[in-house]
Amino acid sequence: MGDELTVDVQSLHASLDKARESLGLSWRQLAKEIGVSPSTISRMANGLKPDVTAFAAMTTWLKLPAEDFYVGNDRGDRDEPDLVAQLVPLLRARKDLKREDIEYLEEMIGAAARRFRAEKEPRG
Amino acid sequence: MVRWTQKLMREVAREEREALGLTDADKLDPYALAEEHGIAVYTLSELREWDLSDEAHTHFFTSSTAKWSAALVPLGAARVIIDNDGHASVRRRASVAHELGHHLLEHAFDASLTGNHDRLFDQEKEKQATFMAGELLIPDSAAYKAARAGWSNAQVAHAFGVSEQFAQMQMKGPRVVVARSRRKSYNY
Repeated sequence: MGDELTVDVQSLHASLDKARESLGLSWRQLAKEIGVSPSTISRMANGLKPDVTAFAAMTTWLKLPAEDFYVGNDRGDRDEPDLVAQLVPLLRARKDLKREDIEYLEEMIGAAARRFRAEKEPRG
Repeated sequence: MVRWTQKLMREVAREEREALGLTDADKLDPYALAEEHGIAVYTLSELREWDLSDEAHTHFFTSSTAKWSAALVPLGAARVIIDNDGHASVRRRASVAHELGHHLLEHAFDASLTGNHDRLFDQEKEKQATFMAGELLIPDSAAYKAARAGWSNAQVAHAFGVSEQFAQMQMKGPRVVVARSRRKSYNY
């Protein structure tokens, strides 16, 4: 996508999520329905912009004007991530974790969240 | 939500390998797959620069290294993977593929670190993520080809960048099926 066009990926992702939930689809099913790759949507969830073709396919599927998703046209449906409340990972770990292990895991996840926040500037 | 059968999970793994331009015989790089999905992978050691204490680092990196391998962390809609770089490369590849398995199957994050452990380790989700790691790293079709060619675990491990133990796990079923079909054909 050209640098001159700045897509509000968070807002677009939130709109897709609402539509997806109302239709009872998984993200993979939604991607197929729209005709984009599942990784395009994962990438948006992680702050990366889709290419022009994928962006057009998504706004067309949503039946919404593309302009709605340009930066500055806040649709008000974005969900700001709550980086404190959502520190609940899926872990590959042994089941006999002790209190000490859990505390260190919490500390590690906190450090990851700090790094993520610091590096969260729009990527593309 | 989707009811994940082995057939459906294999299909997801196949789609993801194809998206990376891989054939069944190619070695998958789980870090490249994470990048394809825009998921950052942080190593345990890198997090020291983000105020992870030496005690926490040493705990998982050295003294209790078997306790934890990797984590998929939800941060709003985004995901990051934390990777225990105290482990051998083959083990790390399997652990990152396992976490990507959770992501690709869209597993819900409904566990709690502080709650009871039954919720922290959902057996079904863990089984599915392990199955996905197997299919991402050594697709079923490749395992059958290797079984027909009589490859050892060491040969499979080398070709696909996994441990011999991991290779054994993926090869066990195909070897039984291939041996059975050979016995049948000898009897005719």
